[in-house]
Amino acid sequence: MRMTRGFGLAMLSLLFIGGVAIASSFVLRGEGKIPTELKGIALSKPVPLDRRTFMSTNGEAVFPVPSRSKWTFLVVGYAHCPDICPFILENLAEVETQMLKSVAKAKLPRFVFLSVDPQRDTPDFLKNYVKHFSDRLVGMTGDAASIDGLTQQIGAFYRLGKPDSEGFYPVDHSGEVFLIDPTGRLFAKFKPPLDADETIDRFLGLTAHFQAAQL
Amino acid sequence: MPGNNTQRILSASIGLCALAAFSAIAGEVPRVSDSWIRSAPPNAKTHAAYLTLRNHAATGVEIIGVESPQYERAELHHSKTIDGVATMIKQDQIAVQPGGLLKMVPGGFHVMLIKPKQPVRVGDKIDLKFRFSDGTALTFNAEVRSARKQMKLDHGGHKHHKMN
Repeated sequence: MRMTRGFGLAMLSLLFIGGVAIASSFVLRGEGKIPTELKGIALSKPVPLDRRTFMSTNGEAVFPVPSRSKWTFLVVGYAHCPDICPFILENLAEVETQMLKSVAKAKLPRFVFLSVDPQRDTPDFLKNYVKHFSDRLVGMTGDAASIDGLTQQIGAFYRLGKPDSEGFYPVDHSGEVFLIDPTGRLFAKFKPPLDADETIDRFLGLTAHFQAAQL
Repeated sequence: MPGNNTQRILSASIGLCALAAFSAIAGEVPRVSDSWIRSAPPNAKTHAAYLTLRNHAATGVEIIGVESPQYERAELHHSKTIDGVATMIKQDQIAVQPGGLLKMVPGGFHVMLIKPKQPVRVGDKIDLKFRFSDGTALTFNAEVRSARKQMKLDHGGHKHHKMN
């Protein structure tokens, strides 16, 4: 049978299109295709984070936690912050309260407040500070190298302000909530204010997306 | 609207949220309502006060200072979140137009109270004083409240809380 030139070209194009479709489906699967409802929250490519030593309210701690463990919601801020940090921590505590009611215990994440102001926020100070928001909230700080390393990797920003005549200084900092997966990768970012029910739905969606990508 | 005296064009300066036209009567003074202070951890060195200031006066007012006998210092601040970064900018003054409304809310304008002289607890009434550019002052108080309860109060069960 004699193929016309046009037919041949058409076949080639179809093969090409099919090939691209198959290849891209592999690529997308490898990257973990993000479900629509998680777009803008889940990272298209999770960022593996180096493990560093910090001082937490429970003593010296490596973060992200070395073994495969729980998911972590991380807030970056400082305890002398009167407005934004308490707002976000309070907001997150509300999410946590809802989670305790609706999420299985084994699936509950950890909540960590990273202070980028270790000069004022000693681990002892942080311990008494975080208790106000939630019993499960962990306060954490560290030396500049650890703080800078982690904040840079998660794409968080902070800048210590100039002290005034009384020595008080404000700190500019990222107002996002970072979600770290059980393997220690930055997996998603949330923008407060967080609606508790919606955040729980998103969180469960993210954990399912994570598990699907691991298979 | 030009030429229409009954309608005032109110300055839409950034952060002056929910501006609404109020009848401004000569001789009337600004008034504070819905004032509260976010309860903070017992060791917190800073607190934030939120409130609504209605300028009933026929002229604009400028808040140029704030103080509280229960704190070592107090300042006017404005929180802004730009590209995900939260910044707090000290305000030397905040102007409120005649008939205007200044809403101090979480994530926006607020009074920063620094170093409480005594431990501050939920239910405490804190005395505050605004000083205006015309030399007048306004004293009021604000109750220390749990923010979670306050948010429910503000929104009547709605879960979304807008950050400016």
